[in-house]
Amino acid sequence: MAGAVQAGGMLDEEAGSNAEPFVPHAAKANIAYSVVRNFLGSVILFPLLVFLPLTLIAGAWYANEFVKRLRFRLDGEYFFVRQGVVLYNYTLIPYENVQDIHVTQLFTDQLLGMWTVIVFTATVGGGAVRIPFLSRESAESLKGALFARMKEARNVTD
Amino acid sequence: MSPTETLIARHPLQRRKILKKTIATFILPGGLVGPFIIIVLGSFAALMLGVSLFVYAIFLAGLIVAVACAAYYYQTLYFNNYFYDLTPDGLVISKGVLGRWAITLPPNKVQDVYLDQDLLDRLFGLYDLHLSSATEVSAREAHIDGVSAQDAQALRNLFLQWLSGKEAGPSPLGAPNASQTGKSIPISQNGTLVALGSALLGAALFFLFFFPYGLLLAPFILIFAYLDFTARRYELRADGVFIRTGFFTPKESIFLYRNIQDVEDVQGLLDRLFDLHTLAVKTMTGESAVVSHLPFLSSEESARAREAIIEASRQATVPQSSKPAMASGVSARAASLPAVTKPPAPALASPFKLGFMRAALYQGAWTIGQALIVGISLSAAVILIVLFGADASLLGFAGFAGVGLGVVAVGVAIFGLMGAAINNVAYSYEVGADAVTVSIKFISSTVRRIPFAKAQDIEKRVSFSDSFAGLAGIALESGAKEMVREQQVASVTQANETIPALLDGDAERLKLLFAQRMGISLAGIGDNPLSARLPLDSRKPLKKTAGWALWLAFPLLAVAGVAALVGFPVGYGVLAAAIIASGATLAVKYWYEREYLKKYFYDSNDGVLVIRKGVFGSRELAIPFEKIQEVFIDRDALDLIFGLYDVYVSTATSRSILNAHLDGLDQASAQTAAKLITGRIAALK
Repeated sequence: MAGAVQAGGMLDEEAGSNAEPFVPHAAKANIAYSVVRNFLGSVILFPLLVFLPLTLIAGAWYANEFVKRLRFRLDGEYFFVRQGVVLYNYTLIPYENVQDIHVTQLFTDQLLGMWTVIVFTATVGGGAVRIPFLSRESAESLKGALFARMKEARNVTD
Repeated sequence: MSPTETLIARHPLQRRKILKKTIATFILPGGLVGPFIIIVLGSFAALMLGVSLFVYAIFLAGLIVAVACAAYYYQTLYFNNYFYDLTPDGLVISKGVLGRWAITLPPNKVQDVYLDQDLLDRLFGLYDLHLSSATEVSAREAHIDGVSAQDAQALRNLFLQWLSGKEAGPSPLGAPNASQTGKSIPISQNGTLVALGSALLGAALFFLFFFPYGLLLAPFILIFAYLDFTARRYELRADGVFIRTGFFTPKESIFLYRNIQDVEDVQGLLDRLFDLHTLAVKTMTGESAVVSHLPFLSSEESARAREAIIEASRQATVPQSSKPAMASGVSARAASLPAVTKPPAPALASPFKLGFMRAALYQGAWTIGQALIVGISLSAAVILIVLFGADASLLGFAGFAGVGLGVVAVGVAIFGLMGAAINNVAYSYEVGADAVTVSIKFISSTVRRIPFAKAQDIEKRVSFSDSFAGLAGIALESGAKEMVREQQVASVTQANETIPALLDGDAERLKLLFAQRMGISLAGIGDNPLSARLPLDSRKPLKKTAGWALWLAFPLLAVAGVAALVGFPVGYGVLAAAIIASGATLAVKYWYEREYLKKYFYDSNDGVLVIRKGVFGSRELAIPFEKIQEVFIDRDALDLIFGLYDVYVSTATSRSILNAHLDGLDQASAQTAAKLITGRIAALK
């Protein structure tokens, strides 16, 4: 079967009735290699090479724009948050309606020293606003300021 | 004991929690199935690859040791990072290794307190303490996991004292307080039969279908069910309703009286046979929807406990001294009304007649009408297709389908009439001084009592058929979470918060009566409506129609593709029919949206925001400003194109998030509306 190894399927016809009813191992290896190469190249590497940088660039741009456009402030009557890049949404939470405040840091945030403050209300479906990309000090400061306003609003924690 | 000593220093986590969590690492990912698969399939794979089982066993042992070491190390870090303390702002719980999560829970937002053990906790003598606010995430994160029995009890007592306002912050633990024990609610002995019978029946059905030999386990199932039943305990404690369940995995829950939104008494068919009732004391937490049930109570004990809970809840709602009532669903203003402004009001049993039969007749007619519309449309489409050359036998098929549809529609209408006849005898309601009670008693029974002080909004609902019948329904929603895992329970609980099939005039009167007893006024609503001063933008119908046009474009493109393949005449005939149908649909949609815009109504006075919308039928929500949780302005891509904004208000109920929005304002009006609403909320402080 050496010829088969060299020439692949071409020699199968010449082998006539003695031909093995299966493709030689080397040809199988070729097929497998081809499949893997094409798979890696077309299905994994190509999209990775093309789309990963695009995704990273788009993600970085989005995050940058998100931070630039993010607005939050403690107004007299409510906590105001504007979020979004193309489509904004605006949330106004009266202080007395804040249920609990979470300060969180995911693994990736930990690498970059960033924190997120999440303010929850009793709205059905998990009403919450998230203020991401804060330093530890800013997150704690925001939490403290919110609690101060909550106390003013209804003297809730006395 | 230093006054500055943190809570975790006084009541620390037990170090054996690390070992327990390490063991849990091996069990939890797939139960015991995961390790079994790894061992069996791994051995099989090793044999296939020609690797000896001895080598594989060594590899597996090494892997297990490595994972165990890594898990133990991770759990040690987790243990070291765990922190909890009472601060002036509230209870702070912080944890995490790769990520960190810190929750701060103010005392007046806490709804329920739970103490439980899973099987591993029992082996290691550990306890988990949970506190839950009205947010779903709090039940997961406000969790002190792995303390000793003594510390768990001490922490729970401390938290209950803190929640009741007896202690505002860190303080040395005193002797066990009064809330530690309470008046026991006896469980009926008939419950033993029902509990054991239900367990046996459930197991028998399961095993008969899946594993008949499992029936040999029946004696053990009975023993487990009996032990679980005997572990049940209910008490009325100083702070709330105490429920203990579970023999192998015990759980103790305390539902604070001040947070109980409504009380429901349910009696299924089996319960009726054995004179048993189930009480449900509902708070705003998701957990309460699952575990706040007190089954196996006799009629007498159920009624006694229900009245005691309602009274304790009413008293807890009234603010004590200068301390306001809880913001979480209990308004200080409404709560103070019974003592200050509201005279004792008489209880009114079914003050307005309910026209169930009239509603069913119109609903039935509408169902048959819908069947006719669908039948005619189907016939027209088939005739068109046949005219373009399709097989004429399609006509016969269409006729057969039309007759079938008609039979189904008539059947549905008849069932509706039968349901109305049942409702006539099963349904009753009573408007009390401080609560509305809705009873549905037929084969099973459910009695739900919603205190007016806990009602989040009033809804007037007119369905399509009701709009022709001149009927309407009035609903109160308390904000209690429903157990949605069982559709039947969810549907019952929705039904028993609504007074349906009222004559329209009576519905208006009942709405005003509810508003009066909630302590809110609807005076001035409609005099100079907000919808006239801050009108919706006239582009809204176009935007809505454009949205439909986009959706219709996809099937039209698909039909066009098929038409190109099939060719003339059938393919193009279908395409022509699809285009005509789409055009007609868009024309109707545009007309509908114009009518919708014309009828969209919203207005407010100092205390209430009212939103009403609908073309055929309508939904009207009257939301007290003090129940509004948040206000947000949102826009989708089409809003961006048309320059529109939506203003939403949300309460602790599911209806508000669906219906309480002003949809299609221009930028200036949206801002003005949002500020007006927040301003009214602030003015009520």
